[in-house]
Amino acid sequence: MTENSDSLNDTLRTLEPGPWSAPDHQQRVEKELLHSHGRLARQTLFARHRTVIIGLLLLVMAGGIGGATYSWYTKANQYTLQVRLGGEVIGGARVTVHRGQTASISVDGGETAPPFTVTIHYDGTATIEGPRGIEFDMEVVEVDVSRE
Amino acid sequence: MDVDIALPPPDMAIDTRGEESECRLIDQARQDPEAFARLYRLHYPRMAGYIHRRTGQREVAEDLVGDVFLTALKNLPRYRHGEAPFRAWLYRIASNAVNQWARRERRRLRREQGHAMPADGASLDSPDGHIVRRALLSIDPKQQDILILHHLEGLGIEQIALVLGRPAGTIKSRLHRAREALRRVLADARGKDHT
Repeated sequence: MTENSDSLNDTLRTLEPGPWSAPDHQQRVEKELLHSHGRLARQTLFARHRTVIIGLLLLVMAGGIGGATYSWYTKANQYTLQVRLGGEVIGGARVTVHRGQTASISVDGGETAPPFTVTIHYDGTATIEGPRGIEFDMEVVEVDVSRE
Repeated sequence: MDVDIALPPPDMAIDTRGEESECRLIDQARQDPEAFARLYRLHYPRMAGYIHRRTGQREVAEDLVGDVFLTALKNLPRYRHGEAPFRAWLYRIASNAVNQWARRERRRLRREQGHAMPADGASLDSPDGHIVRRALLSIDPKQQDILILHHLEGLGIEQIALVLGRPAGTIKSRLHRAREALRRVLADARGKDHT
């Protein structure tokens, strides 16, 4: 290094702020990144499988049209659900699903409400679960199912 | 999923030691949030330090560090192991983020030219450092970057070439021009200071 660059080195050294230490900031950013990782992974998954998903949707639509035309297509039943939490009614939803199968619903169609998973059992009863990974105070959940 | 593999020590500027292990961690980090958190914890101190040295302002540095790692997370699927070491790739993202900030700061300084420097509680620079910082911010952000990477981050020409994705010869001449530019501005600033 030349004498000139040595002196510039010393000049720039006056900008050295010392070692960085911000554990609170580090943790806060890490938490945000972990949150974003899940969201981005879901977006990426959709982007990667967009063609397949659109294809399946077209197939389902074609199936629906076919079902209306041909008698061999068995339509799913439509259920009106009333969701109660701790004895208190927290909302309602309509779901079209085959017995023995599971569907995702959002109570009262609220966009911000997390999706619930409802399973219509073969005996006509139903069970409902909150989203995985999120704890809900749903110890007592009563669901009224009426077949339309 | 916990990933237990040997990685290069965090104080190395840009090194290829433990590269294979880091490649595995990066591959896992594309799917596994905990692996990404490990990468983040490994590189956070150096990236935060670099951004802090370039901006001289703690709050600005905190904001930019968050942006840099979020950009890295978004672009991780596009990262290719053979192109540049992960740390060089992170430096490149950080460098772009700070350059963008520096352009805005440069415009602000030009508007304020002739006025006294406003009291800036967030700045940690010494009085002499304040003059140097102002001089540094008045030159081209790419020149600022090359000076800080070389003189404060301790990166060699080849390493800066990896970070900026330019040939070593180009970096050498840019570093020379950056030094000249800073010397000129400093000489002017100190001349005005004495009159």
